[in-house]
Amino acid sequence: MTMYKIYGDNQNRILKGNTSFSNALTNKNYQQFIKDVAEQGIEIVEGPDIVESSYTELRAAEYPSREEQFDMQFHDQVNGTTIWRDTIQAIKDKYPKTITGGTTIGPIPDWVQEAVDAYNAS
Amino acid sequence: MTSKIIVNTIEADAGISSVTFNDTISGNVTGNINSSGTSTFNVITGVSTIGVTTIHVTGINNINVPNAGSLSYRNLLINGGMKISQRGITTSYTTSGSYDRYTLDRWEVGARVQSFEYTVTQEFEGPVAIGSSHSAKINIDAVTSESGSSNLQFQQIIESQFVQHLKYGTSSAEPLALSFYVKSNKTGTYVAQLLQYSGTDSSSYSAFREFTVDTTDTWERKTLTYTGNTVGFIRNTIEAGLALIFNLHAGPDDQLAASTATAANDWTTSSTLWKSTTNQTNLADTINNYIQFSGVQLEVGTKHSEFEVVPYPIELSLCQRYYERHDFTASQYIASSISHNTGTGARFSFPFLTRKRSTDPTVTFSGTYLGYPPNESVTLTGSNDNDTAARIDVSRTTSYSAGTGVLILAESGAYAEVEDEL
Repeated sequence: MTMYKIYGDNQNRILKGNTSFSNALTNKNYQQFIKDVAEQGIEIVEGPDIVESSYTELRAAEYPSREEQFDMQFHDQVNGTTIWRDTIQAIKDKYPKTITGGTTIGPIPDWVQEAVDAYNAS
Repeated sequence: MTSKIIVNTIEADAGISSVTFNDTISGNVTGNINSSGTSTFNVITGVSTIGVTTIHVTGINNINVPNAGSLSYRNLLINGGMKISQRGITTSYTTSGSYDRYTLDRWEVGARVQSFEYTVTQEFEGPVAIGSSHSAKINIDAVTSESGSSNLQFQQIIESQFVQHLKYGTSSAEPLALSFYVKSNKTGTYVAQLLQYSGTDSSSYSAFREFTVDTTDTWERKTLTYTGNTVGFIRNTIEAGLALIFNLHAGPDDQLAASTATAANDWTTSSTLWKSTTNQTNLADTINNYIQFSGVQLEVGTKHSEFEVVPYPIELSLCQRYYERHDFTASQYIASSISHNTGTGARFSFPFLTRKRSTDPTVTFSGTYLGYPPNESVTLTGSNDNDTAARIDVSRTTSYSAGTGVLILAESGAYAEVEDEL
């Protein structure tokens, strides 16, 4: 049964329930984590969540601001251009609706096994 | 040969300004005394100390005074009066194998090898002799027999950088005086172990002292003295440096012969293991056995001075270096977070009340939290912390564009913990 989950930007933190701690040797919970993994096996650890954004999130992050879009539309009407439509379409093409996003479980980083090996050797 | 002179007054001869006593004076002396050497008096009253540069005394007004170290903040232990218990006042534990549990602030119960069931409470009564209003109580909830290297201990670990003035590992190593109040229904011999950490087993040492609970259900003051460790040094880091361990149970493999473990053989047991003596009482041999501690003081020197009461806000702050708890009220705004990217995530900075021991404390948010707007449940997870604050990751259901702000509200019973214990 999974007891711990790898977490964090650099995958160097551990989650136990709602408790979060880093892989620092000075942390008492981390010391217990290594001991538990050494005694019960790496199966008690789950890899980090790999979060992939959906097309809506990816598009939203790249759309120009409302002010910029209004400005584009104004100049398109005045100049007879299609800058706004082309800009939006390019973003839509870049992130098609087939990108649904979601969360998958990544592999357990190597440092976990290395730390357990070091513990067992000590 | 003895002789006796009965006079009313002794005064200097003409042309001589003072009377000199070449040897010890006993009895009552009045008038001015000028001593160029060291004078010893059993009782002194009505004496002005103006002009006196050094006074050696063992007690003032029948109170033991220190003979080494500072006069305030003498206690190397934190929360020796058991006044602070941020984790709550009652906690029951069932352990299997080796497990240490922090209870009242800075005090932890260590249980090893055997299974133990016990309840730790912060009691609102203490030894009247020091006007104490609090104590720590360990109550046995299930019988555990002594087996192998089993241990049950009540202990406090002191950070190593704060005990460097003990000068361990040098010929000037300071002695330590331990005093405490204890109450138990289980009379017998117990052992107070000092465990010194150097960083490796082979250069770490222990010293042991036995003490006896003589009378059931009665507060008793115990005083023990340890010599300084001239052999092994204490590492100078933010890690464990010195532990005071009250042994409440020890399996036969961890029982040293009392004759080799105590006094004359201080600091000769080399290892970081938890040990006791063959005289150790098993507190866990009967359900509802209990033991209480209060007024625990470990100080430099050989004098057991009066337990020093530290002002509550200072003691709390000392405790919070290792653990702090934030209890939130219902609908309390605890933070303003902001979406760092487009998506369901947001972040905020959570400052600690007190700078922590390390840059890697453990952060836990328990209970229910809401993100407002739109008042949806959110999950809070500590991340990227240092010794003064942690970045908290907010996980929401609704996706927002980058830069969107959301207030974080606590529901009733929610709390946050920042732990950096040794």
